[in-house]
Amino acid sequence: MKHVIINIVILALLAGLGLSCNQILNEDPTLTSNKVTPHPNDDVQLISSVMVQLELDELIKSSDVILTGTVTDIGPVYRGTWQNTQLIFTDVAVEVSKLLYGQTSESLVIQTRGGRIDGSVIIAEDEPEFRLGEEALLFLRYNPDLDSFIVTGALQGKWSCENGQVIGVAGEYSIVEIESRISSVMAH
Amino acid sequence: MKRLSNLNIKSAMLLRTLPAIILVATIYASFVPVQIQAFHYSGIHWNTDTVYFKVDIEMDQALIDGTLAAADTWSNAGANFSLDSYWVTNNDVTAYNFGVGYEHIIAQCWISYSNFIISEADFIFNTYHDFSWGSAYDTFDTETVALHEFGHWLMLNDLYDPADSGKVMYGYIALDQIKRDLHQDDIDGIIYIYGT
Repeated sequence: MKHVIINIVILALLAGLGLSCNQILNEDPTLTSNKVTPHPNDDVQLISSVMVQLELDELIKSSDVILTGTVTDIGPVYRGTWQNTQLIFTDVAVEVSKLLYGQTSESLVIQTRGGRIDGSVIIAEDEPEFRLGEEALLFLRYNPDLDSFIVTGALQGKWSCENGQVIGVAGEYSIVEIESRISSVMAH
Repeated sequence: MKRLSNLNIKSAMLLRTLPAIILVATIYASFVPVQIQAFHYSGIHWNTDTVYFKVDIEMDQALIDGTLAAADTWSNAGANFSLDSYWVTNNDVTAYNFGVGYEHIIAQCWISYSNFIISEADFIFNTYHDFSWGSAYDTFDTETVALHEFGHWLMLNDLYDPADSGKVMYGYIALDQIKRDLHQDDIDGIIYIYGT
């Protein structure tokens, strides 16, 4: 009888733990990435885009701001509607390490399409992934409709950055080479 | 008496291990959704073998013609699945200008689903670009673009490796590029999902 009571108490505690785990996984209280993983019963909108491929020079020409920076915060927000669907964006806060082109403050917010709020999920497959604490080279475009920066060319405009070297879909360069290319492209 | 005693021992052991079993089951249940990736072939599909779509008749004729031709190509891929044009459906093919910052997008697809079942799909041509269905210079071929977008309706993913550039689901399309035939991998994809 004693064992039965102990087991019932343990079961109750475990059930509570299980619910908590599920709640944590469902609500993503601390986001470490702007990319979300849907759960089976979520209402999901999947966005896929076919794109024009942008070479480095085109990325530079299409950008209002180019910088290296560190991701300091990530959080989803509702912003506008499309065909009766509330659009979810995920704001990515970036602390600027080095401004390579354009003008901006020491930190800025980039809006990325997609995110998760309660049981609603929007996944934009072509949007680059940002991870909390990572350093990146970013080609950014100011979007007047959103009054915010977005990544130029979606996943094409975010490059990984480490020890002065950057790697993106348009190649691998040193930051010095990127600065030189920016000067050259913008001079013409 | 001895049998009853053995039974009691077994019951007691079962009761003692039950929390561990429940613990494992609970943790597993908590993590199951993480294993489901919407963008890999995770079983997300249409609950029908015929999907109807409606083209916006206000669109340029080249967009309409290219869309209808692309639907025929997928319908004739050999899978148990077809795309048919119809007037009463929520699955729309439309066109508009995506605005500042989204000029790199040629067309975009939206798919709604829940519990693995697709409920609606739409795709939109970005009219920032010039399109044609044929030989016009410096334009995007509407059939090439629509063939790619319909591939998303079937839950095929974008491919970004240059080695995949010959496939319909390659994520980039260039001006004047014509890709109106399905690659064998595209055909394998639709057959994998919908059978023959």
